[in-house]
Amino acid sequence: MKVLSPVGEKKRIDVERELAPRLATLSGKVIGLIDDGAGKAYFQRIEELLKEKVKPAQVIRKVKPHLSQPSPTALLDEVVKACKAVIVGVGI
Amino acid sequence: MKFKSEMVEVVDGQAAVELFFERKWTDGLPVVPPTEEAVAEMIEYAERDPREVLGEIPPYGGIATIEKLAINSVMAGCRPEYFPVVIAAVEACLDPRHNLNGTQTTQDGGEQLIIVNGPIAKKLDINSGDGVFGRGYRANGTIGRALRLVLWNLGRNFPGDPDRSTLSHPGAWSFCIAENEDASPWEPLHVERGLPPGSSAVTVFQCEAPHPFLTHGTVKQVLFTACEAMGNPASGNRIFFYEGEVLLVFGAVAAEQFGKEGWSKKDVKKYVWDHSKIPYWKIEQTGMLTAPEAAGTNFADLWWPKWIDRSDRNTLVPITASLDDIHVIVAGGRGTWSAVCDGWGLGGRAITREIKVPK
Repeated sequence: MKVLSPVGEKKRIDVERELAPRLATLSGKVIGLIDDGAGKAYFQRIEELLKEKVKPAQVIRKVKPHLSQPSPTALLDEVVKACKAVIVGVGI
Repeated sequence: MKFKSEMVEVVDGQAAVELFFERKWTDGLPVVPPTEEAVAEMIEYAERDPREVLGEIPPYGGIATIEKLAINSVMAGCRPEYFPVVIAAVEACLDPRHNLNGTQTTQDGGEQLIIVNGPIAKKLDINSGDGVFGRGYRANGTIGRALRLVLWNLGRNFPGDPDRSTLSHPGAWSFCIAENEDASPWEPLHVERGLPPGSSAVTVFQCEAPHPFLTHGTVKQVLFTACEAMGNPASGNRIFFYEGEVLLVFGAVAAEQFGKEGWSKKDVKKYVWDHSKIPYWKIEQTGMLTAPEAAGTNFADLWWPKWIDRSDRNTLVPITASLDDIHVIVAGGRGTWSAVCDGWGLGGRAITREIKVPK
């Protein structure tokens, strides 16, 4: 007998198979931080530590609008365009 | 009917059941093998186009088509007549105010409760009386289950991966009731929420497992007890105020008392909102406001409305931002029990959707 699959296809690309190439170093790179909305003090400290220990070219900090929803695509596109690496707060 | 979904050849039904376990196409309970005939029957009854897209189910983003909903509803053991109810429940979950990405992955223990109203409840024999939150009725069990399978198979929020729900609760298997409209002195929930009398609807609300409390005597006694049960300093609603809602379920005996003493639903909501407040110091004492997730800040600074005066540690904090965030229904048998079901606080708001019953 034949049965139908219950799982869905998705629109987005399968990112598990499309990892960006790894950077050799974060030094001299533009690094992005996306605060989940509850992490101000935490991301402040990360920015300080990056500047102290890693010496990036620049740190760009953003805050995503809702603590338990993914960052809007426009925000992600903006950050990905400007940065070589991004640290993303996922939320709760 | 032509299907888009992948077709799998199996030796027999038993083999299909095992295959679905192996492929993680079910969340731990066996399913009814979804044959083309059964799925077609489901879709034809609802008079919908199998290719119709309702949305994408987070976190995986699986596209929810009528075809996929029908496959999962067959798997759940639904009769075709149940399918319009399942569709309405999925639509409710996809409303942005439900915040499905959040409800699918949060640490909070809530699950989506489906409350059915209107003539369809009796027609489909959806239980609203004795044992309403338990078992014994195909409609309750399988409609609830169908929603869970849709969220599992299209959303792929597996425990820990990436669903961070710490405890969850048994509603994650199936969580569907009908309101006991006959026992209620008030208009049904869906009419209160704006739908026409005589229509049928679902209201989906992300909430904890029901916390029961005994309800005896006069209205004042019943509501005293309700407020004791509702005034929990450690509920997930306390962290975030702006989307916290609560569901109060009154059993038939308490409901009758409201009718006898002439209390409207609004009277009840106002009373419990006024009398279930919690001293601020108790909430602070739980440590939740300065949890690690607050990353050195205080959740109350980030989320609480400014009108709550936290400078006085004895300030009485209401359990929701407004009495309109308290939902009241009647359900259960003729016994002296009622229940409170806490919402989440960051989404999972009660969303009502009319059920599109075919002609």
